[in-house]
Parts: sequence; structure tokens; C-alpha cells
Amino acid sequence: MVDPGSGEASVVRATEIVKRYGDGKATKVAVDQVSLDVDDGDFLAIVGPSGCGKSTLLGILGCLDRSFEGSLSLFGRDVRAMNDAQLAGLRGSRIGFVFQAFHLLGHVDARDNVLAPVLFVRERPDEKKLRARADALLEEVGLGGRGDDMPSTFSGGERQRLAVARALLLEPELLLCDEPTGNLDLATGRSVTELFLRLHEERGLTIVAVTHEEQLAEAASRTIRLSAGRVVDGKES
Amino acid sequence: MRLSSLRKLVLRDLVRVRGALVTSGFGIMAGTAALVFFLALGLGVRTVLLGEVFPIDQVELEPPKGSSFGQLASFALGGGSSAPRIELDDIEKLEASPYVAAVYPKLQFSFPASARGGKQLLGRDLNTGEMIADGIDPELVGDVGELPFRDPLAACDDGGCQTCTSTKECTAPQYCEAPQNEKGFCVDPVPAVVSRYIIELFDKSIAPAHGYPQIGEKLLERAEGMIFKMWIGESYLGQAKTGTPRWVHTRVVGISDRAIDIGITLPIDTVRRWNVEFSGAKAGEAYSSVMVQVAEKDKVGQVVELADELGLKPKDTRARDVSVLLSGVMGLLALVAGIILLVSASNIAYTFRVLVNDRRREIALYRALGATGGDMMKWLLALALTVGMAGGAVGVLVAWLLSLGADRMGATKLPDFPFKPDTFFDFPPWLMLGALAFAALFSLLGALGPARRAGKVDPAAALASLQ
Repeated sequence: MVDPGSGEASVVRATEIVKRYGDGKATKVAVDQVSLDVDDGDFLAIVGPSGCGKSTLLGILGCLDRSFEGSLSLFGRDVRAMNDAQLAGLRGSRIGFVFQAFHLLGHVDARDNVLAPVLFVRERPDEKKLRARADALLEEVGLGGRGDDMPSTFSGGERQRLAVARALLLEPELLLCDEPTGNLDLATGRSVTELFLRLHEERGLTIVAVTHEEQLAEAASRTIRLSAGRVVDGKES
Repeated sequence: MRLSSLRKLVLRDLVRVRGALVTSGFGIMAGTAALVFFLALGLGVRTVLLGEVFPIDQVELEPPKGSSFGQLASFALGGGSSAPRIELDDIEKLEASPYVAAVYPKLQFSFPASARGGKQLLGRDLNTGEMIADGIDPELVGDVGELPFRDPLAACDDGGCQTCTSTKECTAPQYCEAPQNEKGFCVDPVPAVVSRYIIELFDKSIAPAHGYPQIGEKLLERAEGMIFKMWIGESYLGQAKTGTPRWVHTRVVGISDRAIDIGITLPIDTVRRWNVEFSGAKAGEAYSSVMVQVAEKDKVGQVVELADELGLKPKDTRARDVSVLLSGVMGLLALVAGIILLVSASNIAYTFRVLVNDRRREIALYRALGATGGDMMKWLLALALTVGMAGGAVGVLVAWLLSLGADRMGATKLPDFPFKPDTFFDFPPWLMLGALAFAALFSLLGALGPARRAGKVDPAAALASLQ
């Protein structure tokens, strides 16, 4: 949901984003003049071959990478005008992340993995309520009753579902997914894709997913194609 | 980050990497134990040396010494001591100082004297060619033994003493005190106190040379009540110009750290009386030294400054010398302990550097979940602080246990010596708290670099590189 009074309809508004690595002759442009808008409730897939700058762009959109050129506003707020604490708060409360490598905490059980975002909530949370929510999310993603199990006992698909549950704990408005089915087999990837679709349809969740897999791209309502860091095609699915 | 979250992260880490953290903490423990042990030893020895052997809550002041030859010559010619004296004026100025609790003048014999006695304790009488003695205020001696410490002639003021012309007319242990041109009285022996130093000197030097048995402090307590004779007014050095050389009886009533180191200490009124008799009225009006009780231990310096303005100086600088020596040794040992702590800090730095490298993914994930760079720093520093405090606490405990062992060895293996303490250690609360603070500080110092690196982990790069 966009901040009221901001006058913005976009959840994400990126204008001429440029990301460079290195300097001088060794400069590499990973993202080159990319502009995109993501409205509330969108399901956008960013597709392209490996190394085209998709993940780099997603990192910028998620405020994980602040060294870029161009302008970016999230929920009607200029990201460049925000300090580290404000950006961290934004990531923690309004954005959920799902990664290709899952990035689960191997030393705590599934429930504590889902509850990980609570560690960085500034206000004192209702622990009991959040534990109940974590269990409910595990149920929703098909992992009901496995809150006490360690992630090492989960399959690839189950780990990704667990990561999705973690991303949804604090009810974010934007879900950013970086190759969420990249490490999964076809069937498992399909089930995760279906999960995203269900979340998008039932919750109206705004999703931006970076992928090189066609089935996830087809599930999205919009697609942007990148090549060598530039947008080459953007269409409605 | 909330404190509860920080606590949760730290507790998880204490379990996850307990091996590496215990290794890091061991160095802190060793350094803290060394620091506490050495400082407690220094403080304990300092307490004994400066509390009992060389008390630092008092200072004895004396005027600068005159020519030694002149004094000796004056003494030999019966003119009494010509040493500079402390006037009543100076004493009043000292008493008026806010740094001074009390002033006790001391008066040395200004006439020659010798002594003979000790058969009860030593098997045969000991003779001294020259008797060194001084007089002090009974209040300075306090309660020593069971016999009173005052001029025995004072009891005769109200006419309560039998008159006499010789000691044979008196009932033992009384003797006939008969100053020149005055009638004699049968009085109790003059009470005397002696110092522990005299035991050391006797046992180590005189007894072996002359075949006397060693006394030791316990045996000296048996000397309480022992009577010996002093021949006052004359000695090998000569005879006093005025007064009647005669035998007086003296009785040891106890041991006092206020007594003159080598010699005996008598009530000041007795010494003043004899000084006036043998050296004239002036010898009773001024003093050879004053014992100044300092109002606060750390104000000795101010008292010495005031004394300097009056032309007086401390008689014994051993307390200051010992204090300086002790401080130097303690400083050196503390430096050694500090080096151990520094090494352990670098060990912690290495451990935490490895930890941050291994945790880049986790740190990046936490950043994605809403942690700031500062939160990551706090996490690492809190972990280091926990390790440091735990190591420090164990170190303090180890130091205390080692001190118990050392005291036990000291009690059983070391021979008895004057002022041998029950414990060589002193553990004031500030020492233990200070040690914990140092342990925490060195741990934090070691972890600071890695913590800053953790705060600067690029989450996008870290997460992307591990996809």
C-alpha cells in the first residue's frame, strides 16, 4: 500500500537506474538506465539470461544496494533521502525477501526461522501472537506441524516454502523474490510458483520476482525482459 | 535492536561457537587472573608494610641534623646533646593544620646513659656501653601490656610515696629515685616499651655473636615485667655537667610500634625530668622529634610540606621508599598482566574476524530482514563483552583460589618473621570490579575491528555471491 498523501500509485517507481562496478577502463555496467513501475497488487516478473543484471536490479529495488544512480521511490518515499535505519525499517516491515539459496538459519528450528524478522522489529512485539502467526503461516505454506523441525530435515521445496513463510511473517506489502525456483526441480518449482500465485490472488500481495524460468514468468501478470542490464521488452502477461 | 533480541542472538552464539569463544575467553581469563593476583599481592604486601611495619598514617618529623662531630663533642664534655630542637611554637603550628589529627612530641636523652640487665630472659645480664632512649606521650603508646606507662614519680605528687636515700630502703621492685638536691622517693621502675626491630637486630646480629639465645617476638612478650638497671648521667662517652649520676630501674611493659627502633622508650615526663636535671631547663622545653598522626592517609604529603616550611623533615623515609619500590614492582607485574590481556585481545580479534567471515551470509540475511549495520556491530560487541566478562569473572576466581594456595604455602613453608601476615593478599572490591572492566575492555578492543566489518557487510553482494 502506498503512503497516503504521497500522491503516488506505485509501490515501486524506479527511474533510469544505473549500477556500475569497478572504475575507469574496468567499469562494468550491470544495470543500464532501467525504469519501471510496480503498482499495488502487481505480480511482475523480471526475466533474462543469467548475468543480465536481474538480481542486481532486485537488490536495488529492495534497498539492499544503495550505490546506484537514478531515482527510486518505494511506497511513495524517496529511498535516497532515507538513512540506514529508515531503510532497514522499511525492509523489515514492508518488504519480504525470498532468495534462490533460501538463506535459512541452520542453527534454529523452522518456527524460529519464520520468527527471525522479529529480532529486528523496533517496537516490543506480542511474542505469543507472533508465534501463533508463525505456526499459521507454516500451515498455509504446507509445513503445518513442523515448527520444531530443523531446516536440515527439509527438502529443497520445503525449505523454500519455509523461506516464504518467513518473508510473510510481518505482513509485508511487497514480496521480492530472487530466482525463488532456481534451486528446485520442475515439479517442486511448480508447487512454489502455485504458492506465489495463491498469495498474490488471495492476499493481493505485490510481487516482483526475478527469474529465468518460463513457468514463473508466465504466472506473473507482467513481464520485463532484461538483456545486458537494459530493458529490452516489457509486456502484460 | 531490542535488548531481548540482542540477548537471544548472543545466547545462540554462545552455544553455536562455544569452542572458539572458550578459547578466546581463556586468554582473557589468564590475563585477568594474572592482573588480579599480582595486584592483590602487591596491595596485601603494601598493607602489611605500610600498615604495620612502616605505618603511613603517621610521620615522625625532626629538625635537620647539626654537625655530628659537634654533637658528639658536646655530649662527651657533658654538655648534653646540642642537636637542633623542635620548639613548642612549631608543635602548635602543626596541631593547627587541618591535615593533622594529633602531634606527639618526642624527647631523646640529652645525657649519657648505659644499661645492664636481661638475665631473666637471656640467662646472663646484657651490658650496653651507651643506652639510646627517648620519651613519648603515654597517649601515643596507648594500652600496652598490663602495667601503666607513666612517670612513676607522678604518683608521689600527693605525698603517696615513701621517702628514701637508697634503694635498700624500698620494697622490691621499687627503687629509690633521688635526683640531685632533692629527696628521694621509693617508686616503681620506670616503664619502657621496645620495638619489634630490636628483636630482629638482637636475633640476627647480637645473639649469634655473643652466644645469647634468640628471643623472637613471642619470647619477648615474656620480658614484660623484666627489670633492668640504667646508669644515667654517665657512660663511656663522659659525664653530664649537672645532676647526680645514679642507677634507675626500668621495666619492660610491652612492645609498641611507636617505640624507638633501637633502644627503649620511656614516658616523656620522665625523660624531660632527667634532661632538665642533667642538661638544664632548656633541655626540657624543646623536643628532638614529633610524631604526627595524619588526619587522612593520603594527606601525608601535605603534612610533609608544612613540616618543610617549619624547617622539619621526615625522620624515616623508608615508608616512602618502600611505597615507591612497591609501586614500581606492582606496575611491572601489572604490565606483564596487561601484555597477556593484549595478546588475548588479538586472539579475540582473530576469532571474531573468522566468525564474521563465516557469517557474511547470515549478516546479509539479517540486513534483509531489517537489521541496520549498527545492529550487526552491537551483536558482535555484545558477544565479545559477554566472553570478556565471563573470562574476567573466572579469572578473578582463579586469582582468589591461587592466593589461597599461596597463603597456605606461606603459612606452612615460610619461617616465622616479624610482621608475618596471615595473608599476603588484599582483594578490595574496586580491584575485582576494575579487573572485570579491563577484561571487558580488552575483549571489546579485540572485537571492534571485526564488528565494524560486520556492520559494513554489503548485503546485496553477500547474498548474490552465495546464490
